[in-house]
Amino acid sequence: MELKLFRKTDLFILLAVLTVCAALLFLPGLFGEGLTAVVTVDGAEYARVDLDALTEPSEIITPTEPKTVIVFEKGAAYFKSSECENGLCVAAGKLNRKGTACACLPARVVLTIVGGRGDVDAVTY
Amino acid sequence: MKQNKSPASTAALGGILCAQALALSWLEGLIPVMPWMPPGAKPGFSNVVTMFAADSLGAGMAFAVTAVKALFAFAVRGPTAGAMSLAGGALSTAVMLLLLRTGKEKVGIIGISVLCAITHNVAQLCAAAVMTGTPGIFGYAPLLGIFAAVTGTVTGVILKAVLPALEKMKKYFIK
Repeated sequence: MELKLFRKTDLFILLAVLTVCAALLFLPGLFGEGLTAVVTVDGAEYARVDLDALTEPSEIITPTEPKTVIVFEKGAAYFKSSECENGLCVAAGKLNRKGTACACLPARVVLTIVGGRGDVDAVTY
Repeated sequence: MKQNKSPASTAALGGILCAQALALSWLEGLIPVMPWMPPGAKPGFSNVVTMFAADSLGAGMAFAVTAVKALFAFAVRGPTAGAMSLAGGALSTAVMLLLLRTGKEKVGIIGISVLCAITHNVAQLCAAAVMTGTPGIFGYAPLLGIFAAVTGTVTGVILKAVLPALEKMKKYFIK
């Protein structure tokens, strides 16, 4: 039997592989990176949220003076608003990678992302 | 047609094939690392040689090339690399031979190549999970799957293109 380059079955194989992988990639949480957001207030852990498992965003308001509002959504967490005077926490934007963190110092609130695939920032060789 | 096939000429041909596989391996190592790919994901050009060996020369030669590649990885890059190469190579070569024996009417070079690429990746993911003890490593699977489909197709096309040259080379040793 001759070995040809491309037969009809090959097309099915390719399509099957690509659709299965694409589906797995976009299936929420199935191959999630294990991203978890941790909120500490005054150094003590206040909240720990699994960001992969979320289907819709959720908010918390920290019991601090000044108050801060932290939003958890799929794959990211961030300070939505704060009563503090400088607003650096809100300006920090969305955190979505392992090891990143931001804080509201007047409120003594720290938001950290743990877990997740360790990403490299740049590659040089 | 009487086949003139002495052990010496088979060994010589085997040596050349192994050298080609290693050279291709080295060449693809020169390609810069893409940041979004898991470290170690490779195009697998040396599988062109393995596929040729599997189809044209049989299981013995195919596994010999695979073993030499793994041995080389072990010698140059260490036991982890050697184990990964062996795991991926052994399973992928076995699948290759199986498909060539039973499926030539239904599957073409590209199909075989893609399936072998996936098998290679799956075997290596399993080996990596065992070695690092983290099942989370399978998170790479879908991305590797897509990558395998692409590289499998590329390798298949390359094989088709160089097949005449490889056949000619084989005839030089095994008349």
